[in-house]
Amino acid sequence: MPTSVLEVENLHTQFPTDRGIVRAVDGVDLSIRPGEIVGLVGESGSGKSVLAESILGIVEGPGEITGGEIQFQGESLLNMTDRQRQSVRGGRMSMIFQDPMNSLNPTLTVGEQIAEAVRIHRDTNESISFPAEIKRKILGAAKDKPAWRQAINMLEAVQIPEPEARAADFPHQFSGGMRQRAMIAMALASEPDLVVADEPTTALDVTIQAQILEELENLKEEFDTAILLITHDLAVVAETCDRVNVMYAGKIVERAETQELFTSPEHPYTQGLIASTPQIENPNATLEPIQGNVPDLIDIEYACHFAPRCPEAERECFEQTPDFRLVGDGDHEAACLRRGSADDRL
Amino acid sequence: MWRYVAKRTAHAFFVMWLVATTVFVGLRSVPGGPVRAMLGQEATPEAVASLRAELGLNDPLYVQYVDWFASMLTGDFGRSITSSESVGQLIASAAPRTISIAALAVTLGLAIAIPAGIIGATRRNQSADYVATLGAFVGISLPAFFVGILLAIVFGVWLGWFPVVGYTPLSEGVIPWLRGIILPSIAVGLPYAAGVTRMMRSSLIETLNEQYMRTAVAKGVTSRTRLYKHALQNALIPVVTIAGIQLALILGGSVTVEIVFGIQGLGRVLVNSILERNYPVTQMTILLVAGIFVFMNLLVDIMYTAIDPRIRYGGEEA
Amino acid sequence: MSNTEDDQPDFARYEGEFGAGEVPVEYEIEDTIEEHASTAERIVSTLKRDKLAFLGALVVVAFVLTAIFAPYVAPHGPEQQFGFMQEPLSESTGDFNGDGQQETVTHYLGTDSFGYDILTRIIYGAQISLLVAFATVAFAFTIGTALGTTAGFYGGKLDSIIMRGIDFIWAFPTIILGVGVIAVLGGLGWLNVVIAIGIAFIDDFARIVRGEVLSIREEEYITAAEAVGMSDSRIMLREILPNAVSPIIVQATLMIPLAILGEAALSFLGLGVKPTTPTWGLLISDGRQFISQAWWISVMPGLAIMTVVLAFNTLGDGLRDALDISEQEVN
Repeated sequence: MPTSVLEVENLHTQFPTDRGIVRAVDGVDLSIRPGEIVGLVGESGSGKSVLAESILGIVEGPGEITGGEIQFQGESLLNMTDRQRQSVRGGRMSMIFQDPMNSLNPTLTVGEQIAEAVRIHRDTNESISFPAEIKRKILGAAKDKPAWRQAINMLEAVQIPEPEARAADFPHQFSGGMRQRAMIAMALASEPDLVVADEPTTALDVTIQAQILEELENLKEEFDTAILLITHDLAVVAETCDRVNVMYAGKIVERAETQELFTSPEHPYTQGLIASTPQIENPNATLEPIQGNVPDLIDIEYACHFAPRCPEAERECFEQTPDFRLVGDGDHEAACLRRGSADDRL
Repeated sequence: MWRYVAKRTAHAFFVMWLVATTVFVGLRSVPGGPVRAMLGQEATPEAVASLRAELGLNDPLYVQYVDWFASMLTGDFGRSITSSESVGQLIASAAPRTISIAALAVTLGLAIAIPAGIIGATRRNQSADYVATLGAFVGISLPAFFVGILLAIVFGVWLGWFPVVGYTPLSEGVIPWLRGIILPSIAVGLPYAAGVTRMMRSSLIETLNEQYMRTAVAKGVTSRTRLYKHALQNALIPVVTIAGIQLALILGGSVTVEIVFGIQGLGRVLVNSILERNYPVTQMTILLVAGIFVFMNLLVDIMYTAIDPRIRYGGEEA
Repeated sequence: MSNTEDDQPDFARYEGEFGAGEVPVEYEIEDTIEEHASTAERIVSTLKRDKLAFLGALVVVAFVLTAIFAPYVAPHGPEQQFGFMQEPLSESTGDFNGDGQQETVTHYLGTDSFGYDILTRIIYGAQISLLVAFATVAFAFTIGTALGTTAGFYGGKLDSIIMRGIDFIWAFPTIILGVGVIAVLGGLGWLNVVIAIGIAFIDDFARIVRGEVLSIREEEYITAAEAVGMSDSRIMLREILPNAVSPIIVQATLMIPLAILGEAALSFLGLGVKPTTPTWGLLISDGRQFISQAWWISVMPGLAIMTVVLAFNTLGDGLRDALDISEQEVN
């Protein structure tokens, strides 16, 4: 097996609140190989964004990672000092955020926001000392230096027309689709080995969505980056991902190669998810929503988090933690006591 | 951006026109008539008639209105009733004093308020924050003239470091000039600084919670750079608004503080003219003070173009 | 989704013991419903939590009580004479209550240039300050609410004109405006002060009320009231106003200290209430010429102003947090 870019093992991230502890990430395993696009599917409240933040190490207090391990290219992220973490962040591993409207700084030019990433993480001989940054802020970036040139190159790579002129613009002068492209450019400027994309297309029009996804795929090819694509939209996953993880209430419940997952979903939640999504080939099929609501993540006491809503639940589902069993073809696993057998594991 | 500046300038002129008209109307609405009020009860009918004629109060209203504006634009501001010097002269000697104090007050105020607000926001709930927040609270609860009195007592009377009365013009040296205005400026500037501090603090706290700050963290930008390169300019935008609104405090404060320190500035001139019913002086002084105020606000409006790129560079292009 | 040959995969192959939505008894979760606290309850709980606001509330209550019961609280009469310019904590001996015997009284805050006991004067001054402040706020409230309701309710051009006019006035320094109004009204006296300062405060009330009106106007029960034939003014009074109570309470609390400061400034300038009434601004003004010999004459009333204004400010701030009103609405 090729060495993974990212190995997440039994990760736990929790938030203490007045009413109890919210276990946003409750024992998650995840792996990503170099150059692959892995999807993470979940509804809001599933903990997928917190998982992304945990990997990047930007979980907001009072939340914190309370257990488990994250290995990035063989190094343990959780054992690093803050400084080491900071140098990985934005460099070898970067993040694309969900909301392009608010994720770009209104008072810095787009070019500068991209160039900054280059200066911090690549060899450019340009100073990033505090006085130098302030000077840059007041007078603007030097246009003939390598970081700025790289920013222009990146804008070109994401198909933004007239990149030289656009680099000197401010975010409010860009349209929504262009802003998201700029964010992608910013995330890829440091030529990372892993990009975590949190709902990169959710805030955009459908037509732009398609373009952005195509962009991501092209860039993966060009820069050989692995991508963790987080979304609630099954269509996006089906379109772009090599492998898929399905997340529910803080846990991964199923994982498989994309084709396999959509043709033979095994976990009752995944099945329910697909059954409740309209399919264009079957316009007359009845949609069956999943009964009930996503649970409050505070102190869930029963073993399988999906049990209360699961039509197949038995008593043991509430009492015994479901482990992953091999199902279907290939590396297809589902965490369900009602599937496969206890002996069939990866 | 220039459209914006032009709009704001036009607005400023409009406001000034509105103020002038209000003053015009106000003067003529004094109960019993302005002339009677000015000359007092014992005035002879001849004196009344002659003053009326001199002030042009016998002409039809629209003629008066036009004359009013015409004379102002040509620089004829009338004569003081009590001292028969021209109003223009009176104001010309008083204005620099008020402007000196106001300018120094704003400068000192901002120099204190912005760092204090930043400290309060970045060291939330630590002792530095409590000091800054409490200080700001007390600051907005103190009338400027009282601060002036306290300063006069402590630094003027007890310590003797600064003069308590009078003003030294700049022409006689920078140090004497500063010594004369430092106490009044602090008195005027302190309540102002208090309001700006509170806004700076709360605005910065809010800015630090914005999405784009998380992007900066995810990029690996260091915390000091995040604060000053990414956050500060954004946080300053509402602060500029408040700094502008609070300029009212500066002008209002100057009026009373001048009395405390015995400075013959516009405030003193204004108050005296009201007590003496010296209406030609009153109307011009109010107009000038309003003018300073409108001008300061225009400066604030223009400052927005420097601080907010959305105003400088208009809207979406693509 | 792509390449499914079958119509739809076979889901939910069989019903388990606990179907969708069913849970074994021991795992049932109770739903907690968040209770909606009333305005009064929220105020009380905030006061319990926010120590500063609580302290402020105490001082405000003390202030109001002192003002109402001034003659009973004050140790002496406001124009009772003792020695001139005596220091704080000094004593006077003499027969002050006409009973033929000598007493010794302590002047906790000293006496002024007329020989009056400063503590007494400050207490009586509280009465005037409070009265004038209340009157000013009431004045601004009445007119501001009337204008704001009209502007919001009728909208359009009327709204524009009214609000523009109000904004124009509001932007001006309160004291300058006050001074100007006094000049026009041509005289001293507390009524003039109320009008002079009150005019500057109309805007805040008008804005709040207009905001409430605009947000409620489209509600169904207004349309219902109109359909039933309720007159416009009745609608405004009975349906719209009660909802604006919270921000108005906060605004009033924050406005009283401003009114006190405004009146103090005008009185200090000699343009406020009539010269012998012991309003705090006037007391400070009285002491100005004596700051080198008797600093306490000016400082004591000033400290009184500061304490009361600070108290109102902390209380108002706390209330604003309690009733969850943003600083944009009320400032």
